[in-house]
Amino acid sequence: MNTPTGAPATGPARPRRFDPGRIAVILFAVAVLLFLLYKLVYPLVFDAYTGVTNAPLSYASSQTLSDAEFEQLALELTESARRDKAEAAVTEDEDRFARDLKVEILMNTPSYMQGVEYSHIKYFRDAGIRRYEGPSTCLACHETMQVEHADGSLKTVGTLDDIVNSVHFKFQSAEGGAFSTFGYDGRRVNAEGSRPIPVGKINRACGIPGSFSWTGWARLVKSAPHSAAVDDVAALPEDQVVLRSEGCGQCHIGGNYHPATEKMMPVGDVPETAKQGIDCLICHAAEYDMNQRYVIEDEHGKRWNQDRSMRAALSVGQTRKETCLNCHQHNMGGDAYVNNVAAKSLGDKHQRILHTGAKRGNPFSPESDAHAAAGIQCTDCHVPQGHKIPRGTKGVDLVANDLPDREVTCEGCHSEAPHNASEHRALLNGHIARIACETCHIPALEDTNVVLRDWVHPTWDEEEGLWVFTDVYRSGKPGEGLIYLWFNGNGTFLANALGDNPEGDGSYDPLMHQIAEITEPEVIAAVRAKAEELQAIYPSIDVDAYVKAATQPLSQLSPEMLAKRREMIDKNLKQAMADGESKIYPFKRFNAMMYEDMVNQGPFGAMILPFDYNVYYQTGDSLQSVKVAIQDEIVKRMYQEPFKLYMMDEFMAYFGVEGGWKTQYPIAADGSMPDVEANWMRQMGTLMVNHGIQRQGHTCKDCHSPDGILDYAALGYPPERVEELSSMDIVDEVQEDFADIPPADTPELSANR
Amino acid sequence: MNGMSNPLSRAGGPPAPNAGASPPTPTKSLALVHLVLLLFIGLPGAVVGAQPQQVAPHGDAGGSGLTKGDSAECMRCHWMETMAYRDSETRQIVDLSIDRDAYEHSVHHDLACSECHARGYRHYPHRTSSADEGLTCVGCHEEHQGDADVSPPDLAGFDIQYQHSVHALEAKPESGAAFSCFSCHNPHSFRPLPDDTPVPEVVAANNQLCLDCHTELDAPVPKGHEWLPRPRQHWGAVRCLDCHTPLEGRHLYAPSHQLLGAAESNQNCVECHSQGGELLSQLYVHRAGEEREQQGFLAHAVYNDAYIIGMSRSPTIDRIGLAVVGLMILGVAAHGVGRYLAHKRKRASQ
Repeated sequence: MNTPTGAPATGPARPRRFDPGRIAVILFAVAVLLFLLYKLVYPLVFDAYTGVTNAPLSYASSQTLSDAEFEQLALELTESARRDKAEAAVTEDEDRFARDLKVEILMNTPSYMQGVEYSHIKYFRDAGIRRYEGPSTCLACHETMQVEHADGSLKTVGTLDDIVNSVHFKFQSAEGGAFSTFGYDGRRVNAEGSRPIPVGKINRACGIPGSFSWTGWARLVKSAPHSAAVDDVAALPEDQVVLRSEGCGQCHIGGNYHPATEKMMPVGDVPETAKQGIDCLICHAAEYDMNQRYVIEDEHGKRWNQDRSMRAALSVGQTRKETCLNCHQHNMGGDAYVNNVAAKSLGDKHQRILHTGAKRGNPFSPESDAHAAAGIQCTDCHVPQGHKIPRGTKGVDLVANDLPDREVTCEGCHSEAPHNASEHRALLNGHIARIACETCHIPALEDTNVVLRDWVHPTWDEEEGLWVFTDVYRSGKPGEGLIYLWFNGNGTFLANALGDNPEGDGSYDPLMHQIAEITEPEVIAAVRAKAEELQAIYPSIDVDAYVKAATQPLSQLSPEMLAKRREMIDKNLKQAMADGESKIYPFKRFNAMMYEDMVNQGPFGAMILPFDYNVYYQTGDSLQSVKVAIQDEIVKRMYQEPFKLYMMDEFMAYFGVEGGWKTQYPIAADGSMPDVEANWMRQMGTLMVNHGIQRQGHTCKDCHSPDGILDYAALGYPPERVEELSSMDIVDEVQEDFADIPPADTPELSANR
Repeated sequence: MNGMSNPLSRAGGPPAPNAGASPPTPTKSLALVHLVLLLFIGLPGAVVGAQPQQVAPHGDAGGSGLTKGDSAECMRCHWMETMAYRDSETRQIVDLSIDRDAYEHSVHHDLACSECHARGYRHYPHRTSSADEGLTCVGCHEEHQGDADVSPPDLAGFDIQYQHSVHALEAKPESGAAFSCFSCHNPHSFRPLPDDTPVPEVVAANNQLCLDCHTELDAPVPKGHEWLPRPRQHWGAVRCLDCHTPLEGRHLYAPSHQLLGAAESNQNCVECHSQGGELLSQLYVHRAGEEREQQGFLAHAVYNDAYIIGMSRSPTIDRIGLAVVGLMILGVAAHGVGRYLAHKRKRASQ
């Protein structure tokens, strides 16, 4: 007490054991040291640990223009719009020559340039910008932006930060709360109170499920077009080989050598160099050239090229459906969809590999969707909040969701009484209580819609000159590629729609029936035919066993596993199925045969393993391709303790695998892979389809007839309701061609309640 | 609340002369109306829409009307919760769905569909329009007055009130939205609130009838109610019709159907915020009864008027006020005792 520790500085300096000033200095020094370690050392250690590369990025298309070239380009970009405007004005001249001259004069006047120019032509001209350098050019003016939240409040945020933390960049999210995915252990993924893990997607349509995108981010694959099957394309002479681009990076805007690995961790940020690789223009430039989108290689590795030309930069503006579809038509209509514009520009070199089987088969284009035909933009329904785009509150799968609380619904525009044209509008509206809009208004998916994909037995694609996965069954028809299930907005970790029949007798059991078996004889026959075809290439295939595993995936489970599955469904998923309000929705069903790590298996499946694209496409040796892929640094890390504790234990719990993640690396010391097995996932995935909307939906008889597309019994209706719903007597009274009946002038239905 | 059930049981009986319930000081213009009204309605019951509680069972005792006749055929479609269409004239959504559960609990529960909707519905699509159908509550209830097995309450008194209401006088048929009983009362779910419904719920249910149409009032400063302090708090505590029906000629158990427009409505705060306020008598006759039951007559007598004009009738404020008074008395007493003791000690020390 005699010497207060906070002694004034005027006294003689004496050593103190607890000098607060000194402690503050030490604390400050430690804080600075920690900050420097975090900022400087952590990224280096992290890169080394995960084996990823970061380096400054440059793009050949980023060129400086002279003022004259700039003006020439500006004129070119607006020429057709100016010509249209001038031609609309010059209507009286009969003489074509005189008319052309007048049009030429008019379209070059300042008046005719106004309003047709892209706004950034003027901005760039005035600011002296003659080269597009990437995000830094955009950020010079757009450092911050106003973001409007759902409640109408405005907030100013850093633009770069906003995009870096969006799903479009990092393609994962750890959002909790309303996220609609449930683990097979019955827990809502990343719910309040749980330890959030980053979730992206488990995508059996790609050979590289989301979590493994490192193993196939940007690849240059050797192909031998129009040649007979070869054992190893890479062994062919150079002049017979054509390089093709492949990898997840083609559709993700991070332009780096790898995905946003750093964002997977709770701390750390993407390095500045990687942020400068963001491709702003692919979403914002009307004149983006998809032919610039191919894999390039430099001294640091492979990555995806971008269009950073001034031509693209001058055409920036709000996103439009055309820019969204640059990427999204790939999974909606599919690469083989006839109106997929981006798939017509495969690259100036190293052309991107087209995938002929469509992941969803529900295109968004004026030819195939009523909304696209009406000129509706994607963002009219998916109303963005800054760079975060809502995908709706209903989600059947594990796909990341930036705005899990934000609705994207049909009712948002169409109200609860959407049918106005038909004489039967009240009856049609009545269906909405049980039937989702999509159920009638997506009558079918594209024929190229893939239902069963065999990754294990590739076949030679002669035209492309590659070994490609075998699509065992494709169809977009109801009952074949499109099935109908109760859905309340919840889904499972492996994309199974959850819901229940509100009038049901308790027999609705999709995880043991509809999505775990294929019963339609014509589908089974088609699978058998394909299996016989495959047997010609792979003599070891037992056709009967193959058909059984593909169409009855539960047959791959041991009796104990099957019993466990039954128990887990009853115990863990009934609540998530009974939640909220269920309606019948259409789903694209899908399953794939892939290699699995059987050490980590449960009643719903085992850990699926990625393929190395080069080995796969060039040699067709699928097992070897797995072996190469899992030697990737990040997969090795996954099989180590830190990753187990950080996320894999939690991941396995959601996956329905009990006992946590087992870190036994699949490749044994002798190079064999004793626990790697080829299997079909134990149930099909059910993917939501919401586009490809047709004005004329299904007719009454499509469902209300004894052989209608809805299997009422399987949907859990009691027998007397099944009989009523599939009888024809009401339907016979209703004229089928009601779409042709003009809107009624007077309300002929009773308005009294 | 016990006052409510009595008139109900009389609802179906012959019109009561009602000598004891003669209106206090009726104005000239309304005197006749009230006289007729009271003769006809015979004090039908209180709260939502003032309807009988029990209707004598229909011929084949007790069965739901939805299982009689062709009703099951109708319900094959009309059970659908979302069965509705948008009227091409009014652009409003017209609900055609019948909530089975609500119907079976409604006063009309034993009527088969065809008993009201007699023609034009045998085939789908129905060709009968609502205009053709011409269903009215008053007419039907009138028609069945003499029936032995059905005794619906006579609605003629309400009808006379209604004919003088702003709804009837200002309804514009050319707008397509003709006003009728059905505008407020859904015959497929109609039933009076049970006797033991707490007053706040009575108020909420009653006001919802109005607010369903008067959606413009769902605003921070509701139109026409600018003069009213804290309108939402008022709406939670009193019924719209407490102000929007004539002050004169009220009967405690028969809410008037003569709804008044803004100009004629009561805007005098003191009508409520005073001892024995006239406007609230109808509503608060129930509340007082309820409070007496809960707190005993003495507590009611002490608290009932212990509030300040312009404030709410919140019991909390009553208690706080009482506590303040009590504390003050205690303080004065303690001070007095202190002074006395000090004085005594001083005297003793001398």
